[in-house]
Amino acid sequence: MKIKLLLLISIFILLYTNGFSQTNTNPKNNNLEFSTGFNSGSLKNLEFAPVSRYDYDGLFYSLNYERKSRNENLFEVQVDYLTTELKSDAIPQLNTDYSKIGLGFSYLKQIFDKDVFSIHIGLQSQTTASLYRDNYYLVDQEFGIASRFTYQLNKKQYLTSKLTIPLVLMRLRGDFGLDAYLVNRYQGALWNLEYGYSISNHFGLRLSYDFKYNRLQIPNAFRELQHQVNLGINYKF
Amino acid sequence: MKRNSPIIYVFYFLLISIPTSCSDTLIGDEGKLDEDTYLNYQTKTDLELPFEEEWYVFVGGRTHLSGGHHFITRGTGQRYAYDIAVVIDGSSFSDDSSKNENHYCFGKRINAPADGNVIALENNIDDNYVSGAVNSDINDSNLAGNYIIIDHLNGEYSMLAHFKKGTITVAVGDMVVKGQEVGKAGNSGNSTGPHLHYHLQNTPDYLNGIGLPAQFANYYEDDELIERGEPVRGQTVVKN
Repeated sequence: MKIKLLLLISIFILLYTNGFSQTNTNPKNNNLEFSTGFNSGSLKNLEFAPVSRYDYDGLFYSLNYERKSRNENLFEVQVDYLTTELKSDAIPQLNTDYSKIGLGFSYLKQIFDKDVFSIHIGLQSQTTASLYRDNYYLVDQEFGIASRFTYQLNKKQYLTSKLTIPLVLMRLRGDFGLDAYLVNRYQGALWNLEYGYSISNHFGLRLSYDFKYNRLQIPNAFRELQHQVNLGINYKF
Repeated sequence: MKRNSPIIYVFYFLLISIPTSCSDTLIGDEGKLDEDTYLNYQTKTDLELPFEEEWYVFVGGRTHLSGGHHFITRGTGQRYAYDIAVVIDGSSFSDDSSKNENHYCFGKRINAPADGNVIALENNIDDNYVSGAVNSDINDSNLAGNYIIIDHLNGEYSMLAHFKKGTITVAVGDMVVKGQEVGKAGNSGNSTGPHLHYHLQNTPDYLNGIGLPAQFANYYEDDELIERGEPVRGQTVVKN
């Protein structure tokens, strides 16, 4: 029964998208995307535990909205969620649950556009709440600069690379107050590499890889490295 | 489509190679010493419990749940700290809990846990006026309230904190011996009720350095004699 239902939904989507692709030729400026994928990460948070390296992996989910202006400038909002377990072979007694919820905004202005290649540059805000078991949590607010390079392979396919460098971090530690760090003590990078394929005027698929790294140089060292591979389906309207 | 093939190959190459490289370098080695301390450290100082009578361990132990000080947000030295108070019939106070005097441990004698040299102290901070709330003048510089740091002359330093104002009976430079009274338990500094905070660390710095597990000798834990051990949350302990 479930298979039949799935088949019917698939046929409906295909007919619907084909219908649009034949009748609607207006450019679509809004893009809503749901994606999910695999996250593999490593974490050192000596404030939390005397563990030089935790490893974790798990599924994450992301919802992304992008709006393109008449001038081809981009506004993006992204919400993502990951839940997993921090594991250490050295001290398994200190393994713990770990969840992250992120909310990102970016506004990117197009500064170059020639043939199939375009460059955007702008500002990024990223808020991340990291929840550990046992009443310990962090809320990070980062502000940084972002650049995006897009290469249109053909009408249906494109490659995009986006690099974000945070410049300021504000960190709220549980009940212990707020601290701010600049680039002399906080370094990070988020690099995204993406392949997109348009199924129709309204629907597309996206395969992407994200590399995230954060380093806080304080007595209780903090480092986090994440690799994410994810697959998304987007709806353009 | 042919002209795009090299770009796609580069894309795949990057996708595969980046995750598998540079992970160790980026995470770094910091914390190896903390890890080794957790797993292998044996206390060098001959410590005894720094109080008379039976006290109850509210915070103490190696897990996050039992050792609240594991989260060393305020002072790296207190990773293995203990918070201990007197509990009678399941409660640490009688009548109105907001009054320090109603807490059984308030004003109780506190001893030096081992021989050593007093290298720092504070004796003039008001006890929190209302038990359960911290006075408004408490900040990062006076979290410990009234305190003593004892140098055990072997790379280990004991810190005892939250003494009752004006009760510390030793001075900087004094040599103390194990079991010698050094002050009275109180409720000064970042404390939400009268108790004794005790921890061992590897530097003389106020709350900083690497926290060390503190193993005490010759005490009873819930009526069982312990030759050498670390009290854990929920245990009632008394020195032999």
